[in-house]
Amino acid sequence: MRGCAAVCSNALKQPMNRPESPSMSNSERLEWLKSLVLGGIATSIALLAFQFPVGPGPSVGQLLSPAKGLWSHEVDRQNHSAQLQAALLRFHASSARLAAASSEESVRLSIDDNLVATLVASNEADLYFAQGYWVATHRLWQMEFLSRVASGRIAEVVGARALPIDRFMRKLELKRAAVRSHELISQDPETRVALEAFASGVNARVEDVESGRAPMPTEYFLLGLRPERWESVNSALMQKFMSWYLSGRLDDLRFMQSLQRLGPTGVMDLFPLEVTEAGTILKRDPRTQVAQASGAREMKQGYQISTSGFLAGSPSQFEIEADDFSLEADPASGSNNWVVPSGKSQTSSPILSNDLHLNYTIPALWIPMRLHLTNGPNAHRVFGAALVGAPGIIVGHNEDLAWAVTNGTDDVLDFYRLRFRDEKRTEYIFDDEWRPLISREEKILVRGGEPEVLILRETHLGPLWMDNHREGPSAEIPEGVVMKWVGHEASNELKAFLRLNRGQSVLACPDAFEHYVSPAQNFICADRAGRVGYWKAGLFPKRPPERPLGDHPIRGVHEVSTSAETWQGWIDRRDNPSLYPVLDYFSTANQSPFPGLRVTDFGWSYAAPFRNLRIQELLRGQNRWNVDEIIQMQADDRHWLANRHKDLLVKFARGVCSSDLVNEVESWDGRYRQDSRAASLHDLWWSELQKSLWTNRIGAKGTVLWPSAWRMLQLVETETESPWWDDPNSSEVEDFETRAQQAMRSVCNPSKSYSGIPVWNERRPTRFQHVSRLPGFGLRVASVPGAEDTVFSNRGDHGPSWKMVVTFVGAQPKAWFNYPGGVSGDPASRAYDQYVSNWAEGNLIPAKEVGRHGE
Amino acid sequence: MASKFILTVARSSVDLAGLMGLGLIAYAFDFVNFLIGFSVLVFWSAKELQVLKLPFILRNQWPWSVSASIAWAFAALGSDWQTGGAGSRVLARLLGVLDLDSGLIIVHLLHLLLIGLLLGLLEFGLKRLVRGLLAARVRKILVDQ
Repeated sequence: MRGCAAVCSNALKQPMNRPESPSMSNSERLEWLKSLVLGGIATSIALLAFQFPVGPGPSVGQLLSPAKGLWSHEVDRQNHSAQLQAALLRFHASSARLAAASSEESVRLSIDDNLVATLVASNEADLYFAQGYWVATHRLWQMEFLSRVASGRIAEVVGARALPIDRFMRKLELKRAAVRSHELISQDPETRVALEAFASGVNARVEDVESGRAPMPTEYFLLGLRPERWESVNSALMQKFMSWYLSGRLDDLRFMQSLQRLGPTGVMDLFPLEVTEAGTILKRDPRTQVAQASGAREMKQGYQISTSGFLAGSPSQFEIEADDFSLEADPASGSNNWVVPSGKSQTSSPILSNDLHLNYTIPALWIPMRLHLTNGPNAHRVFGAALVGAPGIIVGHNEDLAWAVTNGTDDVLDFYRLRFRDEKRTEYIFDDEWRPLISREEKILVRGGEPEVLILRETHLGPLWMDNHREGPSAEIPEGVVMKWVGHEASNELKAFLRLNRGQSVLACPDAFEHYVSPAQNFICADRAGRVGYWKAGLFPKRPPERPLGDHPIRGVHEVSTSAETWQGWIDRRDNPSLYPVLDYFSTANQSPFPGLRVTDFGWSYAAPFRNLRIQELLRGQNRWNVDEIIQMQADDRHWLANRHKDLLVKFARGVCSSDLVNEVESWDGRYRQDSRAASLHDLWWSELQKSLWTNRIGAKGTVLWPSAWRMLQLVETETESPWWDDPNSSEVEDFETRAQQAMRSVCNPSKSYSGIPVWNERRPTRFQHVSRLPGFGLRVASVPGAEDTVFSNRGDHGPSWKMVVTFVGAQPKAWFNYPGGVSGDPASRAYDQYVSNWAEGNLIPAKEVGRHGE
Repeated sequence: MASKFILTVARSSVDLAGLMGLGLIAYAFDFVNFLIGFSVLVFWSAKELQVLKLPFILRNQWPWSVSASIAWAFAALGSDWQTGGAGSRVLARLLGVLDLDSGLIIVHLLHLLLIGLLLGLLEFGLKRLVRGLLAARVRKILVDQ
């Protein structure tokens, strides 16, 4: 403080700071005190502001630091090839078990203009190691987060608000099912290497991130987390998660609610079991060769339907809700696939089209890539969409074979009630003996809170749902029911996909599907030789013949106490719907697989066939097709149902809606374009009509099951005097005309103005949620056409998650693809949403050719 | 006239040197180092210490927080450019800027304003503290005498 003496003595010379006497005046004291207090407060606020944590992660200073904050967060300019080679060397040095299967030859990585990677390796261990490393390079956070969701561990990173999700997922026992599958996969030499090498690749990336050799993904940085090691069982878990996402439907429970309201007669009428060929995948039951059900009659525009109906089927920063993450399979989780046979293709080879409809999330569940295995009997070159967190390609093509999938939308989940010995529910009777209920405790860790202990109970049939918290999807599952679901079986779908990846003809498809269990899917395969086949892949339970409603297929929840009342094994896979060879236009869009009663062995609540009818209408409207036309067809936004309704819409809108709107409807072409008010009017009117008809009679949609849109169509077109049109709350007797007019009035009356009806893009904006619901990292896409039931099946929050067209030109396969997202899952990357605008316009991107062996 | 010009140039050079020095600290070191360096400069530039007849090179023309926030912002711009706009992309998303190209300018401007505000507050506080502490110190000396 030598300088301080000088300072002080100098300071005395300054009139401003010099007290005139040792005892200061009050005003001077006040001034000094003010300086100290004000200075202290201002300095503290400023320093605290720099140290103030932004959510659970870094402080403002750390976040905005030019040296170590977001500004220096390098994700795009990495030397991916060098990183991979270094990781591979460590892999070879450390993995004694996989070393036998791997070699000293390095993997070649090349990245094309669309940032799609080609990974070339001479052995499977290196190939799948490289795939794991590459996927983790771009999607590490997404992989970890989804595996946490699937195993009920997100409260650990999100906090107490995620507890409902964790409770539900743990009761669902996906993790235990994944462990059983993992054992199966690990015992199979065909899949063990792929699974373990993939996990090693992911972990090599985790090590690179931890050691600072690679950048920390943005989400970890923002949330103050470190990446976890990837267990190989997580790949099986991701597969089980997809299986639940696509087949875990609670319709049986909702149907029971509808049954209570409507009674058996009402249910039989509104949920009929007859299935006609109107929109089925196959025109006949492939086993019985029985033609469509009797009683069909011509409808107005020539489509055959049955008179008795058609069975259509951060902590605080996470904006997570209890019912997020599609904890129940969305009935609309569908897809389209179709094929133009060689004879009608301008390429003289089949043109295969596929678009997979899933909930929109960013990053997408898919990541495009090429995998080339150069040596050995399994050598192949495959391109397509890989599922983040799993090895191999799920949808795509190789040099000889292309395959496309849609969700089967079948019924592979039942609920049972058991008879317990007493109130304690520790034993239940089954096959004349008391069986113990297996209970175990699981601890759910909660970020920023106390851990919660959850008691899980299991029977030999499946998990028992007890202690429901009445939250999220659990709220719909009654206390004390047992869930029996195909997805709980040990399964090795990876084997099926790896066989498809290296398949050399369509015949590889049924061979691969021998190993496929869940979720049931409609596969169309096409090969270089021009052969095409259709197979419904999956395992279906053989149920007892007795049904609670006579022949009615809907199973509901009923008490069981003997094996004879539960599943009797599995339906022979040879009895699954299939068609080979396919010689004509062929399409699937989640609709019923074939007409007739036997279909109920597979399911009872398939998608309405509107999309498929439109696809068939388009395909049959032309004799020859080229790839560009197929790509355009994928973007078709004309609504099959709206086309039929146009006259009705004009009739009811006239005099009720504004004349400008009526004029627009009159000249409307049935397209759900972004700027169309007619599309909004149709959607509003149709929704209002259903709502007004069913809410009072059955209950609010979601808690009960409403009749299918196809049954509704029948009521509109052929049963206009049906008692269902009568409003039970009114003294008058209403028919269709009355209710349709009422619905239109309630849509148009509030404003009566043209602009009172929003354009379609405003009525149904398109949004993409971030995978972990972090605000700001989602997307809102300004302008996307289509509706749930158009070929471009865009529901705003759900739609084409992967689009692909494949054909063979000469000896070469050619593919086009697109999906709403990008290669990178890091919001800091240019490649985070690189494909979105192109996707919104309905364009596909030509994929680099996979080439052929020896090239 | 010439001497005034030379003085202006010299002082501007000092400002520039200070700006570059702070910028380099911000670019290369953690923000805590930057805040320490900034605080030292603010401390020595406090009015109460000007009586020391410190070399005029330490007498900048405008508050250090202006130089420092510009230095920080330029360092951030440099880092952002080096990473291909990774930081501005994330911040633009968090701020809800839909057009990421125009978002680049918005984000960097907002960043400059925020840092300027915080550093300005810190400078204000430090200078007030210096005034209060020195005055108290002086009073103690007088009482001791």
